[in-house]
Amino acid sequence: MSSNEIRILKPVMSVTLIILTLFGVVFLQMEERRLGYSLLKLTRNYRKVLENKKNNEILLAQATRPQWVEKMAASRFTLKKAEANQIILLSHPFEDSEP
Amino acid sequence: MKTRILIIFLGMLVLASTILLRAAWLQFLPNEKLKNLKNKQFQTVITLPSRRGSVVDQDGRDLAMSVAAFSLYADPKIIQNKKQIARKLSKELNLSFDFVFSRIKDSNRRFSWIQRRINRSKMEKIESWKVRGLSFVEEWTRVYPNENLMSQVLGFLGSEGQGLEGIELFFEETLKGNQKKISVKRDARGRPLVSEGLLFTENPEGHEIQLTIDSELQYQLEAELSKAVSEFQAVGAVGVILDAKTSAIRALASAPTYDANKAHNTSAEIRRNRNVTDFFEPGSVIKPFVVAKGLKDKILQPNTKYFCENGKWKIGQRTIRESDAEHYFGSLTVSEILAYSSNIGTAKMALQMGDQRVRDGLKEFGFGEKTGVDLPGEVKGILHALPWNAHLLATNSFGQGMAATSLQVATAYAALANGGVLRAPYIVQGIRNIETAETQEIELKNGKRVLTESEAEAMRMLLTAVTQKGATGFTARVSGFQVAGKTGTAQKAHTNGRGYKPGAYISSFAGMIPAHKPEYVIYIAIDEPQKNYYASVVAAPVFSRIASFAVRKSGLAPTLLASENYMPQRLPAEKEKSQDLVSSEILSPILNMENKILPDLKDLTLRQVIRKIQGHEVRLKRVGSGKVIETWPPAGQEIQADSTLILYMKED
Repeated sequence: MSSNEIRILKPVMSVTLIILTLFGVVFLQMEERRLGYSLLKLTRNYRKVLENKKNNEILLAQATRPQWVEKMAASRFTLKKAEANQIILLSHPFEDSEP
Repeated sequence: MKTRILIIFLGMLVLASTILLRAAWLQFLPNEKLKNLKNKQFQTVITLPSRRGSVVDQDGRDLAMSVAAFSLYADPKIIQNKKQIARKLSKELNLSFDFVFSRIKDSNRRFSWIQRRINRSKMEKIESWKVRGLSFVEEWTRVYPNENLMSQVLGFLGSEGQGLEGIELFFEETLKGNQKKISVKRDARGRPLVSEGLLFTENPEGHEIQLTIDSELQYQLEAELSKAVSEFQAVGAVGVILDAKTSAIRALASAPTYDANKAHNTSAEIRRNRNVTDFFEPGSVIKPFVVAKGLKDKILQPNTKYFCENGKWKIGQRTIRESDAEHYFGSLTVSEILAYSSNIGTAKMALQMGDQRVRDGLKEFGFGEKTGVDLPGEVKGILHALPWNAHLLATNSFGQGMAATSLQVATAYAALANGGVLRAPYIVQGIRNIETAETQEIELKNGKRVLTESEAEAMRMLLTAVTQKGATGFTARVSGFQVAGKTGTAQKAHTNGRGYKPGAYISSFAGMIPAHKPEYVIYIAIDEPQKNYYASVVAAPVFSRIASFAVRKSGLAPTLLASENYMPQRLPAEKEKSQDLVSSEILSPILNMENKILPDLKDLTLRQVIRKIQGHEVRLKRVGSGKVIETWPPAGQEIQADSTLILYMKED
């Protein structure tokens, strides 16, 4: 390509470059906006998951509360509270001696 | 013609230049007003309400927590088909049609709550109807997963989420946190644009409060109190369990209790934390503090004798009797006065000490002062100003005529248990910042020394006598553990007017376990039991069951010492059985021990010997006193079951 032809193409290329740059900027802005919406959706889902986790923690706390455990032990496993006379006392024979 | 064209051109040029200049002026020169207008158009402020901090027990179990909830409101002016919407809403929210319709029928109104704090699934369903004029506000709802457990201690929230009682009220600022406001850009539909790293996934959160409470112990205490209330048809009951060393509150309960999730449906009478808000005349549980002051000021000794007037003693115009009409005592030692809970004996001690000294003694142990616990509504009780007449001095010495809260009594006993230091009880162990994950541990405050170590130990030994056979607190015993404590059967004062309510008593037991090295201080009081009112029948067995659970839960090994070896003095009832032989009933259940070789017992005291040979069914015979110089059989030989071990002892 001769220098003359390049001189003729230069303004066209400059205009094209400017137009492409502008299109690029607009595209990037649109992409940012689109990603923003995706992120918004994800954050909402994340919050929902956090809330579910919190609800599950409540369910766990309810399921392990002592009165519930005792009720279940008595009704499902027919267990009874130990009476004082059922407790067997054990102690080490010689506390100070070597094993 | 040319001139006209030139004038028009110049006119147009000036106009265009003015517009351009104005545009450049607006665009490039800073202008606050325009900037604000622009921000208003494109930006929105999102308020992230603060999630209230959780309350957990010492093991991190959740006691109170907040979850997101959604409050539904209506703009009646823009709602179409009101009857149809009201019908759908009433069905979904389980509300009456009339109620919902009344909320949305008035088209002049622009705002009306329909229901506060509904769950997410219902919210999503209502949102899916896409009804114009129905919107939601995100709020928090407080959940108490354990329902009734320690509801009076935790308290509850008002309709606007503010703490109204208990921990929720006392730590309102710590728990509630601060709401966060974020300014973000929005699009044409008003949706926030996530940009510049601004995220709004997590709400700010108030601090988490960790309590010193042990949930299992708390449950056990509440269950036992409820059982006692129903068994003895009592009006109510209160109970406190303190860590003996630090005065940290391990459990704090009163019966009847209520479901904290339904606090607004419960009467204020039941909702209050009676352990700190109610004072009452505690009765004989006060006697040890009179004795402690006497010991401290060297006015009496454990074996000092007082004549107890055979059950009736006249002071001025009034007569003092023993609490149990069947009890008539002659001369009793201080130890026996506590063991049999003699009112006359204690009154005589108090009169010997004088009103100033007795009042000072009670004051030193925290009576008449707030304990300083981190709970709201604490009262200081009643301790009258001096001078006291002889009758008031006498009655105060056995816990009538003065008043204290159950927490005050437990705190005073903790001073005897921990070696003589009065510490303020506390319920908050630490405060955790959720965002930075930093925990601020509550520092243990230095207490006030009220007794020396040896005086406190002497007091524990005296109180151990109370739970021996024949004494008033025998039913408070826990198999395998020495219990020190005191019973109290107090007359209940009229709430209106003077004097005592006939037939109304407060039956109580305050004690510590194990007596030689206390881990727990427990106070139980049953209010107006109907079937029986003696503390030995009503409160002491409750103490025993709770103390038994507490020591076993904490894994304390039983101490199989013969009771006589911890007693400062044997009681008359026991004296009949006294022998030179120190045999022990409680040694006998230990069988099948593999190692039965007698260790070297030389240079040991009798107590050390018993500690060393515990676990063997042997009878001890002591010859002389002091330290062991020789044994039969000698060290290294096998001990046979039911054999006798002879200890030859000599003073140093």
